[in-house]
Order: sequence, then structure tokens, then C-alpha cells
Amino acid sequence: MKESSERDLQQLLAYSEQPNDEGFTDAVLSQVKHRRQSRKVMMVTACLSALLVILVTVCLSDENIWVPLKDFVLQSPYMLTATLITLVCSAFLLPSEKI
Amino acid sequence: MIDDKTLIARVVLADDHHAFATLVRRYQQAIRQFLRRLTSGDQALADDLAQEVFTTLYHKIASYRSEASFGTWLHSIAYRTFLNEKRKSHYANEVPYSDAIIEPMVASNAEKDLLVESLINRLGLAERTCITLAYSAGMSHQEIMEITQLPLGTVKSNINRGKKKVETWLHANQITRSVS
Repeated sequence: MKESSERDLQQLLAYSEQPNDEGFTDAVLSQVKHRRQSRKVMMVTACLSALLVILVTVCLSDENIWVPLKDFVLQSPYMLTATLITLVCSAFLLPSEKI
Repeated sequence: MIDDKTLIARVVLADDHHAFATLVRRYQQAIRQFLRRLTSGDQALADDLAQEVFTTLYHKIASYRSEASFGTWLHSIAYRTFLNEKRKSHYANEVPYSDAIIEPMVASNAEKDLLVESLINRLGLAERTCITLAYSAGMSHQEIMEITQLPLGTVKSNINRGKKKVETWLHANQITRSVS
């Protein structure tokens, strides 16, 4: 008795059989593609902005800017190594990034 | 048929879009219908959320660990996506149920869907989620716990309470026989 009511409930609540909607699959794939492209655009914009800031700083500043930088590099070579490692890793990992 | 793990590996390692499309085709009905039940039958919102779920899946697929089945993991993404949407202030889709929808004549799939939605809408969110996962998606209590992050006792009591309510309404409207 109890089993049959359980079965009735399962039959009633079961998802209705519907064919797969290819339009939905296409929409998901195009959304994924769109997000990937916008992320790439954002990455490129960020890199270009950083480059622009560096260039402007170098062009507008006089030679004095290099003195504290040289001192820093000489005093903390490990920081420079860490920075270089991060830069190399980013350059290698960026193309393999999924989205 | 290629199994889920192979498809996931292809997506993660080779960024294989065909493998991803196969996963979408395989799980779209379950996820869309699960979300449709959660959104009180709002097909458009359910489909939007389902798209979001699969997009999130693509982003997070590398973090899938096979401790839970892929279907369970995907349902938990869908459930969290729904909860996030529900938290938004503009979400006001809780349609009050209407007795007029329930009629003791259920012939087509569409009519059955309407009947089930009107029944499910009468349940609270936790009951609705647990009942849908248990009876529609055919999941075990353990899987429902993983998806909803509720303790086992709460899952069981939600299912029992929801089941009693549904059975009472079905009995009151003498629907069970005409459905099955």
C-alpha cells in the first residue's frame, strides 16, 4: 500500500520527457565564448594600461627615478628574482588559461 | 557512450568544446527541469539560470573532484545559482498557488507539468528542493545533503513533510489515479 503510494508520487513528480534543445546548447557555448573574449579584452586592456603608466612615468620623470630603483634592486636581489619568476610564470600560464 | 570523467578530462586538458557540448546536452534537461521546479514554473528564468549554471561549470570544471557524482556536483551549482538569484531584491517570482489549477483531469505532459508545479508551489523552498531532488531527480539522501548542505535529519523531515502535504492535496482533489 505504502509502496504503491510512493510509486504514484514518483510517477507524478517525475520530470517529463522532453527532447534536447540544441538552441540551448548553442546559447551556452556562445555565452562561454563571449565571456572568454571579454576576459581577453580586459586582460589586454590591463596590460596596455600598465605599459602606458610605465612609459608615462619614465618619460615624465628625470634620471633621478632610477637611482632609488637601482639601490632597491642591489639591496634586495631576491625581490627582483621573485618579480622575474612571477613575470615568466604569468607569460607562460596566460595562454593556457581557460576563460 | 563516452563517460562523464573522460569528457571532463577532455574539457580540462584540451579545452575540447565538443566534449563540453556533450556534457551540456547530457545534463540540460535535468538542470532545466530542476530549476523550473525551484522557480515555481518560470521557464524563462529557469533557462537563464541554467545557462548561467553551464557557464559557471565551464569556468569551474577543473575544480571538479570525483568525490561526488558529476550530476550531484552540477545540481549543487544549480542550487547555489538559484539561491544567489533569489537573494537579489528584484526576485519576486513566488506565485501564490491557486486551487483553480488543480483539476482531476490530467492527460498531456503539459497538463501534468502544470499540476506538478501547482503542487510544488505550495511547498516551502527547502521542502520543494528536497522533494524535487528525491522524487524527480531520483537522488539519495546523501546526495541531497551534499547539494543543499542541510543535515540528514533536516533533509528527511523536509521530504516527509513535503510528501505528506502533496499526498494530502492529491487525496483532497482525488488526482492520484488520473495521473498514474
